[in-house]
Amino acid sequence: MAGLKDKVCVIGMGCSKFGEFFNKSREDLILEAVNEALEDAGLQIEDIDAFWFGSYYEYYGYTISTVLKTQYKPVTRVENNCCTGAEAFRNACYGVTSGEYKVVMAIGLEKLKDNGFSGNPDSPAYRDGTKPTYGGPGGFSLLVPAYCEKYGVSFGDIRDAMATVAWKNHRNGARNPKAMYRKEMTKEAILRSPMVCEPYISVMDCSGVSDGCACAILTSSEDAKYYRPDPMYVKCTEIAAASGFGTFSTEYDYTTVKETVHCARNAYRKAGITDPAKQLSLVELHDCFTITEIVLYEDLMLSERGQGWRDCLEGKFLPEGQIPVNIDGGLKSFGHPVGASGIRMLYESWLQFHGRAGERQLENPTLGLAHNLGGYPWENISSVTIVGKNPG
Amino acid sequence: MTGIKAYGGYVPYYRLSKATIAAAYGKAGKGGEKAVAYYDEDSLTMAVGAAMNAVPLADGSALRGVYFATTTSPYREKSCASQIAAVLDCGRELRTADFSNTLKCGSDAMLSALEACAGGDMLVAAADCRLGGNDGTYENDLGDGAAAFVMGSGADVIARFVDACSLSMEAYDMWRDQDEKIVRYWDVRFATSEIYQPLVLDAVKGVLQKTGLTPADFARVVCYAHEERHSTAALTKLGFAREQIQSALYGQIGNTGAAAAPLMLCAALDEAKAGEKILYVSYGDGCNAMVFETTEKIESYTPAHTISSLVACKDSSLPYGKYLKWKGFLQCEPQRRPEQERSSLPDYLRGSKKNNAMYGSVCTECGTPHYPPQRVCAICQSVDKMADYRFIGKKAWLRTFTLDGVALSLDSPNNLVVVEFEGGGKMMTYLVECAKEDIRAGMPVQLTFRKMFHAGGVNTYFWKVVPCRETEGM
Repeated sequence: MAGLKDKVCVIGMGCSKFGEFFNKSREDLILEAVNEALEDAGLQIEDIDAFWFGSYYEYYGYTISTVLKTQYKPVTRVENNCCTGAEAFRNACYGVTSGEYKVVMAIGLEKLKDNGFSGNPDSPAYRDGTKPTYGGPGGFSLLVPAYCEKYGVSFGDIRDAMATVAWKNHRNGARNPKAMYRKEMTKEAILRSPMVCEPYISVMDCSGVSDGCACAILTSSEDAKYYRPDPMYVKCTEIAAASGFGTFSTEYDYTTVKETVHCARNAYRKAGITDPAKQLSLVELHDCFTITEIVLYEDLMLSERGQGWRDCLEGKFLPEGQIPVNIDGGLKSFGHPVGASGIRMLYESWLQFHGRAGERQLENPTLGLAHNLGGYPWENISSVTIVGKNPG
Repeated sequence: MTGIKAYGGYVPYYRLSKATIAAAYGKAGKGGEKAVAYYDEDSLTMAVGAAMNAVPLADGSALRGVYFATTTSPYREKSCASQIAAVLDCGRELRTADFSNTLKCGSDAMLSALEACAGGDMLVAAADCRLGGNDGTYENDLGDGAAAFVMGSGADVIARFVDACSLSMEAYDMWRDQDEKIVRYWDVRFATSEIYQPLVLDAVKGVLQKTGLTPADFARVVCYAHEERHSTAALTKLGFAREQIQSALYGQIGNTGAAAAPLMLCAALDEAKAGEKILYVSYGDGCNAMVFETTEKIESYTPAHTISSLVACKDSSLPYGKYLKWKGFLQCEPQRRPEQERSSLPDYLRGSKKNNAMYGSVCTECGTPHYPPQRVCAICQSVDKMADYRFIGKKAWLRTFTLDGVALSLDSPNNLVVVEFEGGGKMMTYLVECAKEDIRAGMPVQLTFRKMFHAGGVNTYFWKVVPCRETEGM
């Protein structure tokens, strides 16, 4: 059968605590995640045949091999903006399905807090300098006035919905020992936070900046049973890249992430999902900003168009709601160490499927989705990875 | 017949009130205000602003020369005239030159253009943004502005050049050495009695003698002086009546240096009828006294904006601190963002038509305009079916916007906006000179050529937008 569905399994995962670690090095973060994953899988580092290393700012593949002292095993460093972790995972899957490697590791790492900046530095690009410089908050806040205008949402309602996203994700993060921020916030406190992109994006609408590392050990579904009885099945790993439509066409209206729509459509088809809000047990989506989460409810087809903000206010995405979104706390609570986030999101499904999610544990979860979006709403790389507790 | 065929002024949007300056030093306020270039403006961008008001749709394809005149060139080595010509899409076959180092450089350029314009129209753009020392006379007096003229020959001249008298004199009354940011000057009475007045009197007498005209023959006399009372004194001494003397606008926009007399000349032309003689006197290390006579063509000439409308279009709320910051007088805390990287100059050159003349491309298969220019159409994916497409003059409006408080800026937050153009095409850029409470989706905007940033010794210039403002003559 063509496609990836159920051909590859995760047999071990590890995730460092995420946070502002002025006292932890890259080495510390890598070993924290890798040791957990190896122990989980009952393997030694020499059992891993090849590595896919996802990092946005670390150029070199041997960043991990020289830490882990792997003995000349192949390391491929991949970068795909905020989908970097998902991309490392995706390529590791292909490493397995190609038949070339038996056991592989996907590992995502970012050490952001050593740079001393607010927000993330831009990627170095030797360009003519005529493009305006803007960070994530600037780019994503363009969604707010466009969304409000298109759907007739008042400023008060959208701020309320955005604050609800922040409130929800921090509430979830407070129940996650690996999260950077583990404090519940009241909506009132969230709404009082200082503006970053006035009047639409405040500090509490932004995800944090943090250090972190996450990894997954993969093998073929046939071999998985030799390692553990309860592997996690990869249903699909989809990527969609910007077509230029949002960049050039005046028909793009800044209320949707088209790349994510394309990506999700393909992912659902390949995973055999027809009603995502009903069939998925949990969704980890790229809540880089609260408005992004609202738009993504719609792009991932969890909400009808124009209803994401309302569904959010009505509690649809709470752990106890119809479809829990970012039950681990999301980027809001974890921060976004770019290369690590995609794998960190899969780690929540891993914990949930094994009944190890503690206070966050859902009842009998079977299908989890992880979504990333790298770039801006109008031009980006989107990824959707779906994993299952069971084959089929 | 040679002379002026078109003209345009440019006055930056912000005004610093002299009372605001005085208050900063705990002093009693003087009246009046001065025009202050925004932090992303300099003499080059203001000259472009004036040139775009003189040359419709910034189409300089008919120009055979572009002269830039300023004492505050953004570069010591590097022509600005060539960049103005590129903005005006003049092509390569023209003469460009930068006139500098004296306040009369504008009229020097005009005289040179008149001598050269037999081969085609020449643009002269004069601009200045001089600085006086803080808490000093010239901090109060000096303002920023620009004016541009299309000089040429033929029946479409609106003000015929009659004759001129030029004098030169080696003397110091006001100067800046190569490392100085602020103007230095000698005792005003020395400068007036020994340099200014003899030069102006002799130059005007010289041109009157050459033309056989008398003061009474002139409808208007435009005359530069560091302070308006000195020109008034000299001109009345020559026999001109006060009502003939063109206002210097110093109380409203300050003394704009090399642009001051050119702006006054524009203001005189705004009100001139056919057949009027205008005496135009500019000063600086010498003196040029020029005589123009308006033709009947001036009756049908409509400037893009009158000088009075430019003077009236303003925001007078500029705080002194921002002024100091924009002019580089302060040592401010750096924003917690990576330092601005310099532009790649090979990439800037490859995109010259885009960067300077605001060209995109249009798909000849499906008609979709693209900015920046593309080879593959984003709508129909046709390859290499693109034609040049210029966005200047297209109606434009904001699609969406944000006030970005994170990005590097000397006037944070940056109004980051998506601009859509009538007929298609869009760009992300900055909206400047708009109060945050006035920004709304759909608001009409227009392109303005600005400095994006300075890094590695290079100014990167590009297009931003400003609100379309209702001014008289639009």
